[in-house]
Amino acid sequence: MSVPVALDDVSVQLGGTTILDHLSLEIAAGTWVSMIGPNGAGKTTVLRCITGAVPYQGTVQIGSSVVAEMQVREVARTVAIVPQHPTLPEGMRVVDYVLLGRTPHRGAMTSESEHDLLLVGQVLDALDLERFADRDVATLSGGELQRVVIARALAQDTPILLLDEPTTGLDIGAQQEVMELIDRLRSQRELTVLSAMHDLNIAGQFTERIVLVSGGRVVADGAPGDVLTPELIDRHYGARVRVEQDAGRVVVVPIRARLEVDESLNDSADGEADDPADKPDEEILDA
Amino acid sequence: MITVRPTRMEVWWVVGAGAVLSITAIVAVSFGAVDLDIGSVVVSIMDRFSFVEIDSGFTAQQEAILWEIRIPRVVLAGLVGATLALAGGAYQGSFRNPLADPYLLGVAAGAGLGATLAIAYAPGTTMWPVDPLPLFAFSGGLMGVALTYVVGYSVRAGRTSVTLILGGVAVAAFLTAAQTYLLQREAETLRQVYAWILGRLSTVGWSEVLLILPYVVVTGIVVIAGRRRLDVLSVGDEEAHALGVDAPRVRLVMVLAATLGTAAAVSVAGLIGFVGIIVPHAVRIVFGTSYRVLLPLSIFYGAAFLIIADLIARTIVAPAELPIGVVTAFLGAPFFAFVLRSSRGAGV
Repeated sequence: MSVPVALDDVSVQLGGTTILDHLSLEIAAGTWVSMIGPNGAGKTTVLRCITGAVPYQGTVQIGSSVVAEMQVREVARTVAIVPQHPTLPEGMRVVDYVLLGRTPHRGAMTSESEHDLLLVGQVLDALDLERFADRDVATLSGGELQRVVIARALAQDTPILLLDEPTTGLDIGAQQEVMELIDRLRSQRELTVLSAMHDLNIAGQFTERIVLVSGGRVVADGAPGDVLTPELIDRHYGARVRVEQDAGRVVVVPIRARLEVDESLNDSADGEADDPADKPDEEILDA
Repeated sequence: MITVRPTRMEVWWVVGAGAVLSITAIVAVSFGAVDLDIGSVVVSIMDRFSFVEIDSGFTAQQEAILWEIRIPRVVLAGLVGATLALAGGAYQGSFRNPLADPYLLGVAAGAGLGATLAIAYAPGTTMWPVDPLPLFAFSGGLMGVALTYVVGYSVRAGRTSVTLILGGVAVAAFLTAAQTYLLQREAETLRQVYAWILGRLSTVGWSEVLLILPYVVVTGIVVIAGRRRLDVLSVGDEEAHALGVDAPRVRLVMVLAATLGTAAAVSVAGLIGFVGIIVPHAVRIVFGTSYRVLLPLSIFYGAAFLIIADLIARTIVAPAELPIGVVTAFLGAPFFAFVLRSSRGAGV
């Protein structure tokens, strides 16, 4: 059964800096929404609000429940997250790692049930990970690791899936593979998916709705063609791009800036909140 | 579809660990100032624990040595070793730090200070409803680990598992200095406390065993019950939270339990270092990193390790005795260096 997500007037301050500024966002049950925005825009913080990992003002609802009133374990049975930089326990086997996803479904002192094992077997099978079952998680390649972390989230068997930059650090083939996988799982399991995305093209190709977050606010929201415009990208990323249509999908092509100084570039670089919580995504996109 | 085989405790691992511990204990019971025949020792033990009357062939004096000196001492060494190893494993999982150990986190030094206060200022233990020594040691140990945590994690940039250990070094040095000051003031208890600082397991009869048994049992139950939670904590607090586990609460419970056991051990055995780091690591190397396997096995191998260390301590320079802390440090310090070298992948 699909479950909607709603953030209503959510603000987050960390260390005196405003990370989210009265942000509101609704995601219909069973849909996939991509969240884009420059580094430090607050994308990761939006995801952390939904899991209740960060204190905030405002209301976050999943289905008819208010996250702040739910127990940690209850939230974990409804929302699973694929972090951008997962912590990999040295020496842990892939099966044991994926089995961690079953944690919210069993007591602190009980071993995993036959059902848990069956479900994890199915997930490993669906993600083509059987041959990695006994591998140490610390020895996997980027694409393999991403599939394993997604497998852990799927083992959580939640109606809502959050993904923080799921394609970062992957080669172009692995990026497409991961996104196709998420798309397939979403339709099979009727998941509600919210993914923070760096790559505008991937976001435009795979999701019907894109939300542009900048300075802790939603500044644009709509179909890829409405959000991925040269004007909006220039204003919020300070990037010069050309937007093309390809078989009904939007393609964003970065163009090298001309040598003369472009005034609009300087304007847009100002006024962007610096998000300490978003630190991990510093490395990419200097488009 | 594949059959999912999670990491679980194998029955024969426990059987093997139990066998190692039993053999170690029987050998240790048999050797000392007076050597006893191993076969007769086994018979005498069977005699006590079964309803059948079997004659071990021991004289009354030999029986007394066995039951009032050797066995209590070996049992005490086993309890202390098991507790220190278990506590070490629990600290390592709680702080996600392969170098954590009761000794290095300032727990032992804090417990030592507490125990010194008890020895120096609370004599005449009959006046108290309960023996104040473990209570003072527990309070001191808790203070030690809390200080270490605050100092180690006050580092904002470049926080690694080493900063926690450096915090522990500073805290331990401070607490030890406070303890030395107390000792110099109270010169008449100096010898008593000094012998205790180096670690000693000299005991006659069962009083020490009975003193620490309740604490050790509580520690054992709490830590073993939480072993699966420590595996969840290994992905870090935020991911543990996303998996439905309140990491700070798990850590608090684990640290309290481990500190209780450490304090009890320190209060009867003094400061015995490195057990909490050697044993869990050796188990980790052989049986893997999962705490659900590591913690139960650490109990067996911790007990066996300290029984052997104690056997060495009381026989190698016989008729004199080496402090057991000297033996564990002699074996432990090189092993610690080895762990430090090989754990570079864990952010050390």
